[in-house]
Amino acid sequence: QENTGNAASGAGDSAAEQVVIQLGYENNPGEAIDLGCNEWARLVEEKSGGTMKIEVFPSSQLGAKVDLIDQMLAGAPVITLADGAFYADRGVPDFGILFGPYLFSDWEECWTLTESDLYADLCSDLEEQGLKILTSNWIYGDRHILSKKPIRSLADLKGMKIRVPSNDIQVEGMQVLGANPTPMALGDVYTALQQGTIDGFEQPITVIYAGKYYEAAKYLTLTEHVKNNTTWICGTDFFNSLTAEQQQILIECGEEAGIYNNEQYFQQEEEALNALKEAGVEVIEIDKDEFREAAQSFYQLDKFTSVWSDGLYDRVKEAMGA
Amino acid sequence: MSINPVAAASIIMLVLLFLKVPVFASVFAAAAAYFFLMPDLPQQIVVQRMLAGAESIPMLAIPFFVCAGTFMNYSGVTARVMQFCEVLTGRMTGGLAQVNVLLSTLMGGLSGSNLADAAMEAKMLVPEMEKRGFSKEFSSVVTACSAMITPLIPPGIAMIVYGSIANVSIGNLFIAGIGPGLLLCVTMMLLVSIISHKRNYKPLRTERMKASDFMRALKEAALPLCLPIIIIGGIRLGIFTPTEAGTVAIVYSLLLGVIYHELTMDSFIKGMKETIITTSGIMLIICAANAFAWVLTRERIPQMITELIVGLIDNKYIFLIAVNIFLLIVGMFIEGTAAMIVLVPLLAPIAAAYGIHEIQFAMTVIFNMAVGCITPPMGTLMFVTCGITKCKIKNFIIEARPFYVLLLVCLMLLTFVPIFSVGVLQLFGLA
Amino acid sequence: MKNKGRLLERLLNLDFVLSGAAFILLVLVTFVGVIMRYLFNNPLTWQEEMQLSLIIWVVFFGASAAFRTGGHVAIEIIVDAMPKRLRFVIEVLGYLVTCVVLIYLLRSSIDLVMQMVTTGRTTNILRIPQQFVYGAFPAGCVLMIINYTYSMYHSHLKRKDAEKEEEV
Ligand code: NA
Ligand code: NA
Repeated sequence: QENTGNAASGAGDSAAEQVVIQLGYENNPGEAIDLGCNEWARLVEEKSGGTMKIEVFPSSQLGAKVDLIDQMLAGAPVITLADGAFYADRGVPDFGILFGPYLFSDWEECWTLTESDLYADLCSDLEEQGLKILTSNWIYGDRHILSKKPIRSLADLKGMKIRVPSNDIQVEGMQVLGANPTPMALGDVYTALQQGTIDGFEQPITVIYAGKYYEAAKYLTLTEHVKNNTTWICGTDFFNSLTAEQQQILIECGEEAGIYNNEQYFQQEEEALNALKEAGVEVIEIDKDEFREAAQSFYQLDKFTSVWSDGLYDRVKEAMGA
Repeated sequence: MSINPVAAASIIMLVLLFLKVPVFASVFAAAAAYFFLMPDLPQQIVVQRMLAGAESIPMLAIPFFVCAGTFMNYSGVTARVMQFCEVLTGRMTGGLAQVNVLLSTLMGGLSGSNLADAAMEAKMLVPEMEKRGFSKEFSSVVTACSAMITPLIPPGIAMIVYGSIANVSIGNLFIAGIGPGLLLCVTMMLLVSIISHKRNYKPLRTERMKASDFMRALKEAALPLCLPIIIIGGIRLGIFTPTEAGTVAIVYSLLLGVIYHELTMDSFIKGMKETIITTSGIMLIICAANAFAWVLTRERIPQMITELIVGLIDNKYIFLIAVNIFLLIVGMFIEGTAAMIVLVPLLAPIAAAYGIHEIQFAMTVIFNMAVGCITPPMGTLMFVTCGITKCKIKNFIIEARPFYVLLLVCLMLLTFVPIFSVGVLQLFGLA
Repeated sequence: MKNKGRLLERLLNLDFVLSGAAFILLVLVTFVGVIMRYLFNNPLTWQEEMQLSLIIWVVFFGASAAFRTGGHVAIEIIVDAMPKRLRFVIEVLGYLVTCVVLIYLLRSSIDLVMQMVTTGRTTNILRIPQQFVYGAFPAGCVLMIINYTYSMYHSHLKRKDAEKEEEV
């Protein structure tokens, strides 16, 4: 008798067998991720014949990512998105390399890697830490820099205070490019930009547009320094409590929704880029080779090589077919 | 029979609140009751949500500005600003009562905490007022009510918290706050003047202000009065964030305390104690409110209420009236910041849908919450003031009636006449 | 007897010392962070996580100190209007409810801290073990229960004394 997850409040007998899963994420309604999640919920309900249900909670309504992951580690039927930089802090240091600057030159390399044995090993390491990766084929976006002063070359970036999320991988990733990484909450970025506390920040174009950050900073440099795919995770224990069929439905629908998300993403990215230009943002193309070269030192930093497994960088490069 | 867990939790909260259980414990008991009724939920979520209530950079503004306000009182800053106010208002009817109102307004530029302001004036000014023939009740009421002005004049804790919850520019909220702050200051001085006339409360002096007296008082108060410029300027120039401005104010007040030779180790420790007790009390309520807000979100209560309101009310003005009544009632029971955490994410989008200016709506919400501080049953300003002056709460409420009317009038002006809330911003070309 | 009381007072003051030290550090980190970022263009990357860790100590140890000095607001107006005997019963009841709440919080927060230990959670940049940060929560709960009991006992004693005087 499998009956995990909590039945929604006031649910009657007929729904007692239903598995209810809560899908929480920080993105806002209407973003590609949100559309993808709603699609995921729809597919799961349809394919399971109503025996499984996904409730979606956008805009951090269920809590921040860290909180959701603590919840799933404690056994809650929760799914959220996270990526390599995060897993590096959760007991699988090797995962961090996926978020290194200029690792992938195109999305194909990324997908080749996520299909590889090396990646499967990383996933099972993470599973031992209590976190089960359901899908890895969702695009979060190409990360670019929006700034108050134009960045036309590596020299321009030198010394600029660029906001990054609060983790080692992204702090060092920005540092090797010569900037002064400034971790702060995304919620503070708008005001910080407006008031000049920071000179810029880095996110996918869709996020830059949706958050109206362009009102406070007028230069978008297409650095494309991280190709950010994202993964959906749940607790290993929760996952194992599902029947094999339920597990399959959850994963397959997730992958299918991922494809939907990616279509939506590219469309939204293009729309957002045009809208930014219309709003008077100068879009700057740069010579990426210069940046890519500077980024190389990231993969030799003692701080990382000392915790990574031997020859990780070369093995990853090989696994992604580069 | 099944009971609705949210309804059960809410009833538990109300009952406990009235039974003198500390507010944080009542609110938290409601959240805990929900988890108890939902045994499938991991119990640690409730703890996690409490921690998340404190683990927020904008919320750091609360301890910082309470501390700055407290140290102003121990470093000789407040005393100098008070002398300046005495010179300015000396010939007005109501003497020290006018000083009281003006002092809160000027201190508003130095401190973001209404509690620190009320505590200090209850200690320093009320005994003087009583000596000069003001009644204990009147002195306490003027002190508590005028302390409402302090957080409206920038910097103010409520602005930082509101801005970070609703994603509104904190800098703009700060500047907009000057409008309602001055409105309250002027109308309150008028009211004090009228009451003083009736009761024959005398001015401090009859002769005209001498230019030399004015200059001397201004010179003494000059350094403290620079702080608002430092804070607003620093934020505008991007030197520090509004939250960080709190530490700048702390350091500045300590510095002045050293310059004036008034800060001792004893008074430093005293100030620290006051700061810690006030802030942890408020923060714990905010933590509990955060846990309860999570329960409401999980049950999709905000979405339901939003649909209900939008379905029922199609007129912007009726909406505003309904919001005012609702907020006034909530503000009577729950600490302002805690209430904002639960309600602002719910109300701000609706207000935007009705086409209400975000700053105007912010000012309405913030003002409502401020009014809650001087009304029974849970008015923190009223408690702090009466606790120090030993005024009976019942007498306080009777004496405060004309002030309640005044606040209601000001609230209506703020709600329906945009100039009072966004006027100052327009003046600076920011709205 | 008196010495014993003073020792107890000192021990009880420990929460204030811990909270105060965390607060001073918090102000320093924030202020120095401004200087490093603005003057030296070299922001402290660990500023945010340090601030968020310190505030937990400030709040939970401070909350314990607040119980000793009546710093936790409650709605008194209705209970205070009740007859003396009923008032006493309700106050004791309120004390018990608060203790139950605190014990529940204590149990759940210990679970959370244990989870931090088993999963080896640390802060992202300075790698401070998270249990040292969150440990203030259960510790604060224990101290709150002790302080609340202490202050209830004292105010009850005071009332007994006052009643005796009235009888005389
Ligand atoms: Na005053
Ligand atoms: Na203020």
